[in-house]
Amino acid sequence: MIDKDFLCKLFELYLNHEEILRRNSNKVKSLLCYHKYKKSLPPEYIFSFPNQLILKLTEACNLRCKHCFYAENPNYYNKKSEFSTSEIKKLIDFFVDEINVLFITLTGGEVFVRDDFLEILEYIKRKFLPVTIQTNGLLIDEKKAFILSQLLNPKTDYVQISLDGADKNSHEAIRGTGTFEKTINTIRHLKKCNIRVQINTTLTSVNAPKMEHIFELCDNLNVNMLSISKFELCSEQQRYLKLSADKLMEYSSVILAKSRNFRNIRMNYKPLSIYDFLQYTEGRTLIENYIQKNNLKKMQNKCLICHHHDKITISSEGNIFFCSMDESENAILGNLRKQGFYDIWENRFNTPYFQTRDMTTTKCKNCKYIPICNTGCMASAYKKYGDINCAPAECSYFEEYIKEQYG
Amino acid sequence: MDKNTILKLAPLVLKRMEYGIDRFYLLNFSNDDIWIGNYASFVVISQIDGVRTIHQIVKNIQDQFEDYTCNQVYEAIIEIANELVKNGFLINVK
Repeated sequence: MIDKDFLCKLFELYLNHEEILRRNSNKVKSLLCYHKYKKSLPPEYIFSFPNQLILKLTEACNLRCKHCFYAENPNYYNKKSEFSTSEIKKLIDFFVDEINVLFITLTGGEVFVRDDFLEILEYIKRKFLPVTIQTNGLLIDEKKAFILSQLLNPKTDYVQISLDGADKNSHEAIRGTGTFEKTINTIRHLKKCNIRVQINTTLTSVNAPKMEHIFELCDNLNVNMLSISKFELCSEQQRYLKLSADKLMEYSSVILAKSRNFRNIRMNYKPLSIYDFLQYTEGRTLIENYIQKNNLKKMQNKCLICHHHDKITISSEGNIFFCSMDESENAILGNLRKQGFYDIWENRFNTPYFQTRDMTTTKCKNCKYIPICNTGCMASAYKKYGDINCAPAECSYFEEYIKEQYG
Repeated sequence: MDKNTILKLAPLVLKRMEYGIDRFYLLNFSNDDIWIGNYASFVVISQIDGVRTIHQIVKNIQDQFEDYTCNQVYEAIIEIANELVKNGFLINVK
């Protein structure tokens, strides 16, 4: 049973954090020209083709993390029919020169497992494209950090390093023995070379008790971007990593309170959402009062499609996904080895993710909480209900609401 | 700027031709400025490679678009190039 005063205090911290995030996002002007460009395009034209590409270069990985999406399927990490260097270069030529994507995220598996990774990166940077690299950092030594610094621009590019805890024990309980020091050293090498670094961490039962110390660690390492995500349960073996609702609230309260002392660190905190408050009767009252007090209204004519169909993910096998949160068979738009991109793109409206999702189509349109939740993650909705116009799986109020609405 | 000038794109300038609406964009990630032209400016700027002189580019374009004289192409290029150099999208190599 959660204490009402505690919940109230946490809700304030949560709103305060949202406010900080909004202020921070206004401060991040590094990609302002991109927003100017988007604003200048006719609305119906902007999303006629994707602007951002997430390229999974490999499924191979040098680690077997306990919380990985693919932990229950060890065969996943075996090198399958991933693209060759020349195939990737052709893909990059096509997506940069013809489709005009403006950002590329390089991810895996572990991208540095590929011997040709730096060659691929150099090829992309020759086209001046902003790049984000997602890595566990273990295969980056001083020399590679220097080469990266020659290729990456501190204004537009950055490296996201996975660090699953503020201390050795927490991190290594997830990622394996001997990984903590190596990761920390990599961050030091990258910072020494003036490369922008973001630390990505997943909040689990293992690292949550000491997670508040991650701020001091970021500060010591001179890292000013931190992203803390929610752990997504993918198999029963991982259940011990999941925090109970009350524990999530407790640790979130500590983390959010601590973040206020480190305003220099831009923190993206994703574990706690409005749906966590909806689980409690007192939480619902708090949200209702907040909506009433601030006179929040639901936004009319608002497109509720996540990323506005702006982003696509290409797996190392050539499958195209609209959302990196759902890579199930049903979510595949097409495969680049079997079809041309234009054919796949033309057919996108026949796939579940390319349906209309706005205030007229969403099943949540009459929900009293919609002015604050804005319907949430559509991948989560699709995975649970098979319909992007439902509420996400995390919404504990949805089924109750549906009964009230439709009997 | 004259016929012997060699130009190249400034670092962190991204070209983007939107054929569907006949707009050519230059996005400068260094100073967050954008410049909007049309297909004609795309044709010109695509030729600017930091190697060829303006004279060589004029000749090349004039070969493709025979309706225009060398002088007309030259004047058009100089006008665009001056504006883009002034706004930091192009830089003088020589």
